[in-house]
Amino acid sequence: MSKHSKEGKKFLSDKSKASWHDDTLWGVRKKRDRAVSMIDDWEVLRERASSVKERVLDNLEEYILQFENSARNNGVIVHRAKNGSELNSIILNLLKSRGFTRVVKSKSMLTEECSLNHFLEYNGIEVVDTDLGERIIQFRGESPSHIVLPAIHLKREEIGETFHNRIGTPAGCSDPIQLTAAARVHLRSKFLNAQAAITGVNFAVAESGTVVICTNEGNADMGLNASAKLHIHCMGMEKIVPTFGDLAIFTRLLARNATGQAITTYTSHYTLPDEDCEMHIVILDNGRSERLRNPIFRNSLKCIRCGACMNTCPVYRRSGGHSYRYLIPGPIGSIIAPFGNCQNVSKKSQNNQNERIYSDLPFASSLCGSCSSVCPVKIDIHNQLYQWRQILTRKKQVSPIKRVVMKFVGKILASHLLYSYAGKIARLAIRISPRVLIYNRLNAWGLERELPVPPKESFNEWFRRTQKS
Amino acid sequence: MELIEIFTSRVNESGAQLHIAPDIEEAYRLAEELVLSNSGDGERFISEQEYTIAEGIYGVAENGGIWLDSTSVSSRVRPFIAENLALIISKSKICSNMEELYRVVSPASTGFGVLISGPSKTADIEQCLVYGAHGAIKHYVILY
Repeated sequence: MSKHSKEGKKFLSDKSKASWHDDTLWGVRKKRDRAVSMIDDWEVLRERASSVKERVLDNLEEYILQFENSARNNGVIVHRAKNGSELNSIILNLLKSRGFTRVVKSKSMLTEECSLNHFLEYNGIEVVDTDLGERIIQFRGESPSHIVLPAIHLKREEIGETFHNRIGTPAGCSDPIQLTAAARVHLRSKFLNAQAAITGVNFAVAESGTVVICTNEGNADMGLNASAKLHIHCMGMEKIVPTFGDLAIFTRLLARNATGQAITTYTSHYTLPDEDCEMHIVILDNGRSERLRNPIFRNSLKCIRCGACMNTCPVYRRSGGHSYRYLIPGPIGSIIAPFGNCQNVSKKSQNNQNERIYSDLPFASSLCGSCSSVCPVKIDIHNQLYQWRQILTRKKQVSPIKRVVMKFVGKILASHLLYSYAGKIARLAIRISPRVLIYNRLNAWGLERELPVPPKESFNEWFRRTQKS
Repeated sequence: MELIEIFTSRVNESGAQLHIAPDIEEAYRLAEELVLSNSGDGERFISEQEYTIAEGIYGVAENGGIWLDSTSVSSRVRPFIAENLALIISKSKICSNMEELYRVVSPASTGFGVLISGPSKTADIEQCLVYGAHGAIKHYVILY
């Protein structure tokens, strides 16, 4: 059993929680469908979004330079980080040289990618995640289980208990309204005392040097504007859009596809530093150029992190985000995870460390293609998962049993004679074998389901018989 | 006229309360009445954390959002920190979608711009929608 299956099994052991998770995410998918149906030219919009991203990826360095120039002309300081540790030390230096120790951070998968929180905390900086879901999991020492709904794996009682222990809400209180109100008070004091604010970036407009941040809570804006004098925006290099005209396509798509809202509550555009404030932007590579050079997987850089592929995925909904063990779970995460940070590639084996650790993820999919059909930028997600399977199998990163069985099955499927013969045997065997022979640990197909009663004859046999008469 | 209808229904869906005023003076009067009725313990003194009234530059029909920039507010924090936020917008300043918005507002020129649609919200606890995560708990839109 793969690591993902094992973790998934643990997730499914709490049946009612697992089915709540499944239903809730499917509900988000349905909300998305309603929001999408309100736009007449949705498919045209997707096509345009995909082609803008294509153009950006084709000329990425040029657009980054244009963005950097525009931002510098605005009085913004732009940094480039090759990898996570570079980003972390750039940020630590900015804080240290100003003697700042209190930081508020708004949700950013990018800083998760670099383990920024741990690094800053280790160096004596207080980092407060200010998105409610992020704060909850920060209190619990967990990682997000979904990129848009970070605490979707938790029930209200668990959150109530965490808040009781950490911010003193009454014991047993699990009412979302009361818990949110308590978090508001707690986090407001953090906002009003923060010296620096760190945010992620949804889009970066090359023509003007503007960073665009989309939130429903307003936590990024509170962090930046309530008291912090040092503003640091962290972005992956693929976040560039050339113009505001292009940006419009994405601000129309993002929230509709993510949560089924027409737009997020706050769509904030920061171009010039505020009075008495410093504005910094850190542009991170961390393996992205490597992925850009890869003809099969470069498309995955189009991702705008809406999370729709997770909500729709029958495997994700029934196994939970943590079963993927990677910061971005679900279908898109299963493409990115084996890539990981390409610095880990050892020259000798040419095998990325992450390819080994996450080799099971491309197989954690039914390849039904639902992810690709909801992707707002038309990434061929299920096809890329299929491609990974080919690569990982060739590199012997899948279990030896699977390799042997697949080779064997491949031989049978390739031969007409063997195939019809094997069919006959299987139909007979399933009918007459004792249960223990079929429903045992070795047959994953029989673990959680009853196999169907096999028909007496194959389609071919039926066809030949009925054609005769 | 159709644009106004779409705008008003999107505003309602966003969790904001929509009010109509005959002219801008009346819109301001109504805004004040609304934000004050909800603040403090009936005291007339209110801090910036309690309310903000601002005039929007443009509204977007497709999503019910209202665009503010540095010229709309005395400081950037005002639209976010207030518990009660009232945004005033003229019926003549409603555009159809984001593409049109960015054409009519020059989004980078004042250094800061935000499109706000409804009160601050979160659904991070079991997907239950709660207003007032950090920013406005009550969000009023006054259309004149």
